[in-house]
Amino acid sequence: MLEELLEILTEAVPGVDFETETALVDDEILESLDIVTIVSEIKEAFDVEISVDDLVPENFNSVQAMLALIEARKE
Amino acid sequence: MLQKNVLEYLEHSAARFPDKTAFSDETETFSFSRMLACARSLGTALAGLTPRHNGPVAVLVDHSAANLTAFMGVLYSGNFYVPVDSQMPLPRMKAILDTLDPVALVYTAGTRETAQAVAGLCPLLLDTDGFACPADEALLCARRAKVLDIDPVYAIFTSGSTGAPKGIVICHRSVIDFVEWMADACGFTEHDIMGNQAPFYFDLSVKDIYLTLKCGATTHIIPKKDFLFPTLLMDFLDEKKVTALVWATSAFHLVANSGVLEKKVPTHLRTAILGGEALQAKQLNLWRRALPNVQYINLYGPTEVTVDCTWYPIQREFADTEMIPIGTACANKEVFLLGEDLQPVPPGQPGEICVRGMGLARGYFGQWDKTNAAFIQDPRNPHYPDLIYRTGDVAVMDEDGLLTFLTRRDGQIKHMGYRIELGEIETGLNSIPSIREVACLFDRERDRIHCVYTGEEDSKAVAKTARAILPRYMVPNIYHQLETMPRNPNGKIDRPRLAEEFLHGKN
Repeated sequence: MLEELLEILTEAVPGVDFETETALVDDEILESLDIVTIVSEIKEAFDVEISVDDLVPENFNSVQAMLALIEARKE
Repeated sequence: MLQKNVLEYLEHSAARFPDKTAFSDETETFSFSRMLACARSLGTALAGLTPRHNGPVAVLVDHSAANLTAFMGVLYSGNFYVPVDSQMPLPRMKAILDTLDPVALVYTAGTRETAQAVAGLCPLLLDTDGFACPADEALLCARRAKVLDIDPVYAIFTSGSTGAPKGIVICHRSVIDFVEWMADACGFTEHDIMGNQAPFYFDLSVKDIYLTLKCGATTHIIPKKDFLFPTLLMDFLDEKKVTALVWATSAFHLVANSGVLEKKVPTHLRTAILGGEALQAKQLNLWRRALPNVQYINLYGPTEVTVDCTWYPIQREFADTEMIPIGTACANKEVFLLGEDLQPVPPGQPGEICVRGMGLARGYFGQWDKTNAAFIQDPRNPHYPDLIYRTGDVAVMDEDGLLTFLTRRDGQIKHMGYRIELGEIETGLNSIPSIREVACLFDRERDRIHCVYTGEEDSKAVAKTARAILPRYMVPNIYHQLETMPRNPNGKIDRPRLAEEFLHGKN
């Protein structure tokens, strides 16, 4: 799952070291509507429902946070 | 008396609504009277730094209301402003400033280091120092008297196919011509409140800026962070009672895709005006379902015609798969199609969109060859000088005169709402020492730029370097490392074969 998520992220926002970044939102690495793009890819790739209420900074600051969100929505 | 300078908009609104908010951001608000006073002050300071009128003044922009006051200040000094994205990688910023050779550069407290790194020998002015300078009425009048309506208001840099960005020079008369039409056609008044999405180095923002100044309306600059999270964005629009969105189509689409409209909508909205790329019926329909009483308007036009040249107010249902027309010409502009032989094409036949009118740019700053190639004599008029602009966009006109956009004639793409030349990305990537050869492709369907290259470094390293030398939106999304580049019989990179292999012929 990690591999697939990393692929989605590096494609959407190329040139960022997603494995090590922990402040993707706070450091403005993700910008504009990146998150909407990423979420629509995640929904498709992992077949999960992510609601607009899940779109908060805490869920997107790191790859781990995003993985946790996907796991939670899978249940 | 006939208006000849866009500053008259600011002056009239400051007289009518001195205390009303013109522009606000998260930390600062400029009323019309404060904006006027600060702009006159900064204009005085700049006039002291620049020997004469009509010179380019670079303004480093960081999405703040102060940037817009600085623009007006530059105009008070008799010069024209050139917005430069302060987030842009330094090599590209230097390339722009080399072409421009500005007479001065205005920066903000947050962009001091960038200013010092790129400015070279031109004088620097901190915007707040300018705002605090006592205004010199005599000096301002002297400068103002020298500026004609055919003199530049701004130059905006856009991607160039050979690698060097092009500075499109727009004059006062063109902005006035456009704004008068738009305010009237789209029903703007002093009661309108806009939520600004478009960056100031992008000419979409010219609409927010000058509609506000002309009508005495208000624009709230949407904090960047709110754009990351659609629910925050909806809260912002509602809290500020935003009535009009003048946005990039890509932002409008992504809000629809986020699903937020099913839960929250901006309740004060009366109109949404989109431009920058093709409007999709599927996303439009999501908005229309959520907000059926809003007037949606599709605009089309390259920066070279002063923001937009056609418009299409949505007045009927569209199936999700239907193409939305770009419509008909705005007032005082003629928009028509020419074939490859530069002869008019009949309805139903594809042709290149060509534009005539006061909105045509003065040209590309310092680039005569490019200017002469794009702005040509109207082939239909052999009698006297009469310029048209060739957009490079291909469209078709139906029997009713409605235009529908089809494609581009060249390597220009629209990606994440930006107009980009693949050639500029390739030139940038070619400057990376480890890269031997590179070709870029664009997957329109998925909105992804592909980079096919030969060289030692892996794709991760290439992407990282690309991010340091290219603006964020130009960095390719997907990388293909090859042993050797395929070539056609003429020895050139075989692009159709690359497209076949990596885009499955979709391009």
